[in-house]
Amino acid sequence: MVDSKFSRIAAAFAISMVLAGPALAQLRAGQESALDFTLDDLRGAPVTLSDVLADGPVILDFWATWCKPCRKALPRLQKLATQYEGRARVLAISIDDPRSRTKIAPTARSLGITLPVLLDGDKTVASLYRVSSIPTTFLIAADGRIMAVHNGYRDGEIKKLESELNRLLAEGTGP
Amino acid sequence: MTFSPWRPVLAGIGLIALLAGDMAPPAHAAENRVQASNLLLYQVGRDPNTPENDVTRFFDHVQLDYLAGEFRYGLRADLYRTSEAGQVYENITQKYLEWSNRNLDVRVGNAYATIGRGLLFRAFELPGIVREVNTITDSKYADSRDLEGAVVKGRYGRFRIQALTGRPMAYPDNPPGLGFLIRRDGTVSGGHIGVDVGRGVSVGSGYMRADGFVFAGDADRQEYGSFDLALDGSRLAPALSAAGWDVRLYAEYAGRHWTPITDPFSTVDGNPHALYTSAALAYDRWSLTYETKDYRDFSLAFNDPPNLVPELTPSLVNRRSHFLIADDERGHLIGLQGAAWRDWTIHYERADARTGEDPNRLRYRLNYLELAGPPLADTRGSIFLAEGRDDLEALAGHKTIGFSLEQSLPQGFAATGDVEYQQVERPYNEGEPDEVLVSMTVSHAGTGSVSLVWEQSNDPQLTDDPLTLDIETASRRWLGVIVQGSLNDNHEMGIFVGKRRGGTACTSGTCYLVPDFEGVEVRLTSRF
Repeated sequence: MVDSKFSRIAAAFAISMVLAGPALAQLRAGQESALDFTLDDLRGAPVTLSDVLADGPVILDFWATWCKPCRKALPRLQKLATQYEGRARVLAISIDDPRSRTKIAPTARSLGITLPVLLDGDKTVASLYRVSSIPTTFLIAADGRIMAVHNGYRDGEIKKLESELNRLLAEGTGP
Repeated sequence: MTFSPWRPVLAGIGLIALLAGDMAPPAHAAENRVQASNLLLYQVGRDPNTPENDVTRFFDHVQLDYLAGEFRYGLRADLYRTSEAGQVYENITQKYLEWSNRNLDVRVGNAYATIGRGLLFRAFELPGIVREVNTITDSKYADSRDLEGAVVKGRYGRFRIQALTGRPMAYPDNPPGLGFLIRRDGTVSGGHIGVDVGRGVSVGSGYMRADGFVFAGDADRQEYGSFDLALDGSRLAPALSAAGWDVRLYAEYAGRHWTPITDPFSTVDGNPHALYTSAALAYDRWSLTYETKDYRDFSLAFNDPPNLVPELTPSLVNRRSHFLIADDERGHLIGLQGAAWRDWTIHYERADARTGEDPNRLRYRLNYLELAGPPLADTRGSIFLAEGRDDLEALAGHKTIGFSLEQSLPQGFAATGDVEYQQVERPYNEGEPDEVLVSMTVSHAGTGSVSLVWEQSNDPQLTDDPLTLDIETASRRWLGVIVQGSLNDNHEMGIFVGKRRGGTACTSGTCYLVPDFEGVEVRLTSRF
């Protein structure tokens, strides 16, 4: 016996997605603009995304000290940042809550990370970017378009990100 | 309760509709826009600790934001349906209007804020976590412990200012729709001002007033104050920094009905307080951290001070975490992290906590040592050892060992294997029951992964079947398959099939209970 109320709700959900899908799909990666934000770095200095974008494309990586795949991804992102120095920048946004703040700098150091680490303890920016799992990595063109979103980290993911970055740099989207 | 084939069909239609949305041609981005995210969870199965079979559960969590320049208007809604007797609901769980620029954020409605390290106040959420309750009555809900009111955060040169007012979520939070449980309790108002006084020294002070909380006891209104001090050694003594050293110190004290002039930082019994300190010393890729806590009568229902339990990646160790008793707890956390050679890293953590009148008796202890690095080219491995005790989890002791290996394969593939073994000692049982966890994963970059997770335990706390009168002692086993992947730029999907072990789970330092599950679970997260 089908629970009629349950079925009505599920059907209403399905129909609403049919109607809303095409309208919402216009906001696909590549069309969506990155939202500006200001966060403090580990020294307490404010960093604003639009200022960083003025120098070229930016990779935003949301991570936390307790996240195993994040710890695998960060050293590879560091290599990418070194390789593309002057052409693109990587910002590592820690969503560790304020209670874990003491661990952030030591974790970054032990992993050999010299990337700018920004603090989003209240997850305000993570919420703005609708991050529901970590790591989540965004590739943002200098004009603010979000070109790619990577959820999670799997071996080889950074190579894919690198080819997307190369494509973006080849497009020549300048500030 | 019989299983109906219509339910997965209807959910499937919803899923296809979501994917079909991406086939529409993209439009140009507009300055003002709507953005949305959705988390859909669908389960068919059972909790083996309850008699119901073939239970169908559907949970959906949607967030819509309208952005217009510096303004953002947001709405969140949760919907829950279950085929068994449960607390079904559809609620608008959040509404907010936010205005922000470089120096100021103003949010009215449901908001998040932390004062200092959370000693006085912390309103937060665990994004992507769906909490489940099967004990009082069946329910699922998003974990969002927000403040319903207004929050203002400002930064002006050397100053950081925060002000807030509103009704916090009762802590620990309760599922929505449960009329007989208080979900929001009383009101709070307060704030914090911090100033960088120069040369790496920052000071701050907080104030909080709480009205109408049922826990308050002796007075309807409670007042709290706090003071914090942060020292950045590299700015305080540039010679240290030039030599490659980094030293940072932080201390925060909070008290109820605090009189800082006459009784500045008292930690004596009978004086409700919370004191947290931390020190970090780093050189090259090595760092040593030391944190302390001293909390007395400071469970305020809306605060969340550091529990000083390290967040660790092995499942069997992280499951043995503990819940903070802010009314009576003192302890330490020492951490050492470093790079030994090439890309090999060492990680050591030592945590302890005391409670009660006997200051020499540890009620919580954890020692953890991990070595991780590349044993071969294209291979990454780690090995760890852990031991400890946790009275709140009824654990007189536990010893754990485990290793992990990840091998890169051609064409973007990788294979990972994890093995963990744990012996536990229960205070009321002879012998040392053990637990084993084995997981194997094959992944492909940009596509997804398939994992097989197998667990076994002969812990008497887990072997007994509560649905029978007998006391079962045979080992329990859990076997599950997890498939995860990106469907396209907008949708991530995860499918679980099999048996999943419940118990304590911890995310970002916050622990909660997860019920056992047997069946099929589909989870779809979307962002538009």
